[in-house]
Amino acid sequence: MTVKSCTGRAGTSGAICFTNRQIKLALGTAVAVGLLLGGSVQAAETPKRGGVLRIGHSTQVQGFDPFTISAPNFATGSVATLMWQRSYQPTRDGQWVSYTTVDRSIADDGMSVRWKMLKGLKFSNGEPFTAHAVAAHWTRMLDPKRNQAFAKYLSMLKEIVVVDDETTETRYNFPYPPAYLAGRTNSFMAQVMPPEYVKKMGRDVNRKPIGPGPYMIDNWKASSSVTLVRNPHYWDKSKQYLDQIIFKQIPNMQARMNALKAGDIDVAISMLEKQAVAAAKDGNFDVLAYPASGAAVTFMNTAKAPFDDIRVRRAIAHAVDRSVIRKVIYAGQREMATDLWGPSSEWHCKDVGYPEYDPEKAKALLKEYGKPVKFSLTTSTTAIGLLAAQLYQSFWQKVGMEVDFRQVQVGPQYIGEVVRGQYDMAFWRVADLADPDYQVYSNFFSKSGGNFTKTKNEAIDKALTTGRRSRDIAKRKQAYCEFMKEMNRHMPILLGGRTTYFVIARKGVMNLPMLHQGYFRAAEVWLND
Amino acid sequence: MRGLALKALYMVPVALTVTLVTFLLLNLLPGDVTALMLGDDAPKEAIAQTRAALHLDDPVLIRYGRWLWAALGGDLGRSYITGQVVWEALGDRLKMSFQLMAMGQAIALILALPTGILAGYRAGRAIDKVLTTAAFGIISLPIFVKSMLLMVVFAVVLRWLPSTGYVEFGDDPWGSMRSLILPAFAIGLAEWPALMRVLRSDIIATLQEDFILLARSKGLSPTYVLFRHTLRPSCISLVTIIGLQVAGLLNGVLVVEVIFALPGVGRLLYESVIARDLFMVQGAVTLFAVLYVTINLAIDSLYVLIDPRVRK
Repeated sequence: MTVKSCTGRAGTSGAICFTNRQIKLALGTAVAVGLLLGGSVQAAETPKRGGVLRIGHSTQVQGFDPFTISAPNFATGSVATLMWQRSYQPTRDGQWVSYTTVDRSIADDGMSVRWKMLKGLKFSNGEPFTAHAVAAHWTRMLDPKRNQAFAKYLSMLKEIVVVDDETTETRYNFPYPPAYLAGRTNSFMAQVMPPEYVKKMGRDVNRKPIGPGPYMIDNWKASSSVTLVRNPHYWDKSKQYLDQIIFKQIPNMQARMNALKAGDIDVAISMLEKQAVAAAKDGNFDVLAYPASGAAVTFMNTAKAPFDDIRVRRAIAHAVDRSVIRKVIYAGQREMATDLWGPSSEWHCKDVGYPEYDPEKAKALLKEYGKPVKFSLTTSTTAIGLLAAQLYQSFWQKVGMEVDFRQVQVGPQYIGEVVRGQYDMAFWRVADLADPDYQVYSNFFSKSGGNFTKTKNEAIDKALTTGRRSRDIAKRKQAYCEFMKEMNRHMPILLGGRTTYFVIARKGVMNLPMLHQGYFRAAEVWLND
Repeated sequence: MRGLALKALYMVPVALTVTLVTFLLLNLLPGDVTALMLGDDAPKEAIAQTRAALHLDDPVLIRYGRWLWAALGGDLGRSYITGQVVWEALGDRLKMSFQLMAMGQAIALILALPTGILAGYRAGRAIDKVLTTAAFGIISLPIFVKSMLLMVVFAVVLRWLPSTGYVEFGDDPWGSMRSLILPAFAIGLAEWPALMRVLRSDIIATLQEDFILLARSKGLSPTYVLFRHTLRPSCISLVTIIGLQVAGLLNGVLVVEVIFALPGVGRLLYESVIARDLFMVQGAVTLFAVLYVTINLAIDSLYVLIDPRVRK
């Protein structure tokens, strides 16, 4: 089967080419890129203005006040990218360029960073977007009396103060080198709104947000659609291509695909391999597969037997034939991770010694352990969650372990059980983020509140501390590779498939965006109709 | 009429019982609401503050009384998840659910009346066997399959109707009707067999009655006898089934709402239960209880119109 198109993007340094049978990895450099495929080449034409883009997605848009939503889903995050453009945006060749930040300076002691933003920025209601609004937002975010669901991720932040109308200074509790990447993250925590507006709206601010981004909400019908129109006060009107952007919630994936075929939507996001392969075969669609940083993982609670013993954890890894997982769960279309970042990330580590499939070695380790191994695997109630659980169960049963699984709805209950340590083993996901520190320190540093696997390992702590504190980027990269090697030896987690996002679009939807963090940045799209 | 008034009075203890039981059950669920609102790592002071603000430390019956008092004043609280006022969220979705229920039930009736009458009147003949087989065939198809088939044929292949989504009636009445034709047909096809079978049985039974024999012996035409003397007394069971179906449909046909991406109350309740959005669940259940009782009261009043004996 021939590859229909693998390039099509000026400046793309690598690509995933989606054919009828396979996705070929062709990553030239270690930067994140997506690739278009299964359709026509999207030539670098001059963007056209106008038209309505309709995007089908799966989950309910939750709202935009961090204190209410705690953690955004992909739909919520995608809508947010239209209302809050980041200080820095990634280009197609993997570079990060400044859009609204004109200067950034890090203090010599590394304890603070100054950010100077573009002058004249405004919120969609016409109010000026100033340093005062930014500082007031972060003061609210750091208020200990409010929602602490994400406090563990902000432990490095002390305060953000106003220097002048366009300049803020971020102060840290300790030198924090990853700060230079802070503007890269599409974090819902950075969704600044005018302080007076927030006060006036009270709890309604979650559903009536305003931001300084290129689009603003015109109409929101809960569980149905969110319609956005151009922000009349946006600073760069030449980049507001579309007249309207409509996010339509279509929970069922097959119905979403049918809506695309029927012409009721232009783009379907949050799609899986199966639909992407079918759409590529169809030939009437463009399919974007974006191999992101991050991976599917399986947490083991190392504070509880049997996973408090490294021999059991390693036996767990040796018992799993990952080629079967890849074939069955990911339809052969997703690479299996050996580290948490993958070859598309600048943090990728090669040769970090992920345990190979060796059921005899697994049996030997279990024999050495000397006790029966019995545990419960927590999985979601989705069909794919059940399938994965059954598959893993079959591998572990083959080497003599007794495994049952319990299905829990993805949502607060699932998250709550893992957060509270009320699990033996649970499926999880390491997010697609620009800098490793933010998540891995929280999840695997022994004294972190977010250490859900209860990992206690000096080498891991040391590597994570170096990754967090060192101002030498090479040292940081080396530290994260050391971290990954020790993780693959200590085995508090199993690694699954690399995070890969799929988008299917009808012909004529141009400039499909890179899906950083899984968010579809619709502001970059234009229609060639 | 006195009987109806008495039944209307029954609504009060029924609604109170349902809301109380729901409140108690939701309070029995493990976990702390403040953990949902503030996160698991929230400081104790923040938890105490929130618990005090929500009166969570009060005895459960006191809290129920407080909730009931607010609910009687139209305040059902706010969603923990979206911050939306519960009454607003329910109101938004009820419009669609009512419209879908009305259209689905209308389609079911349009299909059931002629087929039920025909099958009953021609009981045992070929047409009866064909209709009965068709009814069993359709009822054995899961609603998921019926919905997908309708969507593929009429939206994807023929492109006559929209595949998913809902257009509000106030924005575009025709567009709104079009947006619900496929889901209403899916519901209508699911409801039709039961209605047809019940009507068929009652028609057969009524045709055995002495007054039908008398009507025939008077030389009245078969059509007149069928529609004037047979149909009305054969509708009692039909109306009962319709009442149950309507109440069920209002609660939402979850599968249809999910497949056709409709913002109905069924999906709202489902998503709220999953997210443990307690105020939303409590509000939705209360509303359903009141609607259920009201619909059954309306059905009871229909009996009075259909069967003069009930009036006595």
